[in-house]
Amino acid sequence: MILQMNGIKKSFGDLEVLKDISMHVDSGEVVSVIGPSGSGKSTLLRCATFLETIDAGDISYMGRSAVTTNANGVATYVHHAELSQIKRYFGLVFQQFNLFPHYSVLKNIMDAPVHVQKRHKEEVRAEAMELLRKMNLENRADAYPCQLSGGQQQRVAIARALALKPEILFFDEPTSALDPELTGEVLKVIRQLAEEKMTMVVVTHEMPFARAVSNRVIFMDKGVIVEEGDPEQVFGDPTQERTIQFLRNYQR
Amino acid sequence: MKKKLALIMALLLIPVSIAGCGSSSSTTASTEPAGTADTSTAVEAADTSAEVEAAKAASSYHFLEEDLGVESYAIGFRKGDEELAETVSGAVQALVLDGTYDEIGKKYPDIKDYLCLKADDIDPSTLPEKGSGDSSFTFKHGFDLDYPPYSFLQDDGSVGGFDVELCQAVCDYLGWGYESVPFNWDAKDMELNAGSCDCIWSGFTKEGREDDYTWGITYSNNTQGILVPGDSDIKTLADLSGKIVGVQTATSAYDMLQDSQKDLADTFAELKVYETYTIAYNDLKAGAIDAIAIDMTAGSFLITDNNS
Amino acid sequence: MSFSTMLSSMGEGMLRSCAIFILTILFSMPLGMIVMFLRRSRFTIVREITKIYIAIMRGTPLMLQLLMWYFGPYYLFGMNIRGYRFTAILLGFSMNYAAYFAEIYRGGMETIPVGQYEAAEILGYNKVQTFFKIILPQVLKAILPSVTNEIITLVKDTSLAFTLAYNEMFSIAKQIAASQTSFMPFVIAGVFYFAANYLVAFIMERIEKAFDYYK
Repeated sequence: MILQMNGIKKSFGDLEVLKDISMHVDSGEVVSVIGPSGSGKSTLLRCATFLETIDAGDISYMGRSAVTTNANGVATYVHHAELSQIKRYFGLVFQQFNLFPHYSVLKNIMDAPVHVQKRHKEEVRAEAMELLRKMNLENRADAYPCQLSGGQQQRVAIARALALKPEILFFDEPTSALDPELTGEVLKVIRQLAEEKMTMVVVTHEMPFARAVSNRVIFMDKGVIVEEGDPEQVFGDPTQERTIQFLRNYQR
Repeated sequence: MKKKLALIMALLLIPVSIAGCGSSSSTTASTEPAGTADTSTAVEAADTSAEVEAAKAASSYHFLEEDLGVESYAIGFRKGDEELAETVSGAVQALVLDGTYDEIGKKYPDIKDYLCLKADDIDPSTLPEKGSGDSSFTFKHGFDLDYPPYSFLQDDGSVGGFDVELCQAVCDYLGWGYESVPFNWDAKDMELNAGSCDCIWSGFTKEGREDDYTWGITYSNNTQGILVPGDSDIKTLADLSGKIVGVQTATSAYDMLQDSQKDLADTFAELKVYETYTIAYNDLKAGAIDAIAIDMTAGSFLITDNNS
Repeated sequence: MSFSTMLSSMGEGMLRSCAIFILTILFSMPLGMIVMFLRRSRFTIVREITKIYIAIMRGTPLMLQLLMWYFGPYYLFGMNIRGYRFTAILLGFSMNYAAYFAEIYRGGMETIPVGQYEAAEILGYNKVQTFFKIILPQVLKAILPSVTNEIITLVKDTSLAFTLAYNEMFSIAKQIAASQTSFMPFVIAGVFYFAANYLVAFIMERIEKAFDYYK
C-alpha cells in the first residue's frame, strides 16, 4: 500500500471541510476523486501532500507514518527530516501548473533532481529529455513557460513531477485551467501514465476520463466520501441519491 | 492603539530633541521667568560633576586676540541701480541724524560697537526728506533668515535683526512699503538679478565683491575672528597649525580663508566647511573640531545665545 | 576662475558624492533585505518594531536623521565623535535607504503567487533554496523599476551630506557660485547629476532587458 489516510479532519475556522475521511491507494492504482466544488476534494489532496496540516487523523506513505493522532485527538507530524524523506514518495501537479517562469523547460525539470536530490546532472538531463519526448515536447526544451500554451505547460509540469521519480503522483484538477481544446493532450498523457502502471490520484471534473482511466472512483460531497468503487459501478449504477443527483447535473 | 501612537511620537522626538539641544532649547531656557530659577539651581546641584564641568567649559568660549581681518558691511544693489542705492543710503544717514540708527543698535549689544556711522560726519543738505518717496513703491528687502544678529528668526517667531529693523525704518522714513524677502543665501545673486528683491542687506560684506554690485552705504564694520573653547590650548593664530577649523560656506570668514588668509588656512589640518554655523558650533561643543572662523558679531551672538 | 579650475575643484566633490552613493547602495540594499525579513517575521514584536523603524526612517527628513546619527552619540552618551563624520553619513544614508528598499522588496515579494512556494515545497526545495533560486529572481524582476527610482533619488540626496560638513559636489558648487557670483557651478552640478542618473538609468535598463527573457 502506497498511501493510507485514516480519520482525516480539517477545518478552516468554523467551516469543517473534511469530516473524518479515510482512504488508501495501492501500488499501480489510478484513483479519481470527483464531486461538486466545495466538496473538499482539493483540500483532501492538499492535506495528503502536507500543503495543509490536518486537525486529526493519520497519514502514512509506504508504511512510514507522517502524522498520527493520539487518544486526546492531537495530530502530531513526524520531525522535519523524516517528513522530508516521506515527501519524496509523492509528486503533485497543480491546477495552475506553477512552473518557474524564470527557468527554461529543461531547467524546470532538471533543477530539483540535481539540486534537491543531488543526482548527477548528465544522467538527469538524459532522463529529462526522455520525459520531454514522452510529453511530445522534446523540441521545446529551451523554451520558457511563457512561450508555451497551457496544455504544453501542464505537460512540462507533469514531466517535472515525474523527474523526481515519485511512487505516487497527485493531480489537482489538472485540466481545469485549460481551454477545452487543450485538455485532450493533457488527459492523453495521464492515460499513457496509467497504462504504464503509474500510481495516481486525480481530482477531476472530466467524468468520461475518470470513468475510462480509473481503477477506482471516489465521490465526495460536503466533506465526506459518499460513494466509492469501481468506475462502472459508480457511474453506471450509483447507489447513493447524492451521487445520482451529481451525475445527472453533470450530464446536462 | 493610543499606546502605540505615544511610543511612535516619543521615538520621533529623540532626533528632534538632539537637533534642538544645540540652539533652540537653551534659548527657551533664557526666557524662563525668574521664579523658576530656584528649582533649576536645585537640579543643577544634583548634576554630576562631569556635567557641571562640561557646562563650565561650554560657557567660556572666546575669540582669540588676533583677528583675521576687518570688513565692512554695506547694502548691495543690482548693478546700475545707482539712484535707488543713493536714496536708501541717504535715508540711512538721515536715520543716523535723528538717532534711530543708534536706538536700533542698542537692542543688539553684540553689534553696537561695530556701528560705524557718526552724525558728525554727515552733511544733512544732500539727504532725502522724510516722506519724499513714492508711496506706491514697495521696497523688497532680501536677506538671509539665518544670520543673527543682522537678520534672523526671533524667539517669538517673527523676523528681526538689526538690518531688518533699519531697513523697515528706511521705508517708514521714505514712505515706501516694506516687503521682507528671506532667501537662501546661496541663491542671493539669482534672487537679486531676477528682481524678487531690490537689495541684499544682511550683514553683506563688501570686500572682494566691489565690482559685482552697486554698493550703498557702509553702515557697520565687522571683524573676522577665531572662536575657541575656554580650555583650548590655542592662544594665537599660529597655534591653529594642525588643527581642524570650521567655517560656514559663503561667508566672509570662508572667503578670507580662501583668499587673504589662505596661507593661514593652509596650516590647518583641515578646513571644515559647514552649511550653517549652528552645526559647526555643535561640532565644536562635541569636540569634533578645534575652532571656528566667524565674524565677531555673529560669533558672540552664537555663544551668548547658546550659553544663556 | 576659469572653467577648468571650476571643474577640477568640483571634481573632488564629485568623487566624494560618488563615494557616498556607491557605499550607500552597497550597504543599504542587503540591509533592506534583512529589514524586509524582519518586517515579515512571524513574531509580532519583531514585526511591530520593524514597522516603527520603517515609519521613522520614512517619516522624518533624512537631514534630521543625519544630525541624529552624528550628534546622537555625543549628546546621549558623551562619546567622542571626532573622525566619526563619514561613518555617521554612511549610517544615516544606509539605514534610511534600507527602510525604503525593504518596503520595495516586500512589495516585490507580494507579487509572487503562493503557487510558486507550494511548487517549490512539493519539489523538495528547502527554505533557503526556495528563496534564492525561485523567489528572489522573480522579485528582482518585479522591483527593478522601483529600485531604479530609489537609486536616482539617492544620487540627488547625496547633497544632504553637506549637513554634516561633508564637502560633496553640490556644496562645492554653492561655494564657488557664491564666491564667483556665477551661475556656472550650478550648471556643472546639474550636468553631473543628470549624467550620473543617465548612467544609472542606462545600467538599470540593461539589467531589466537581461530579465526580459520571461514574463
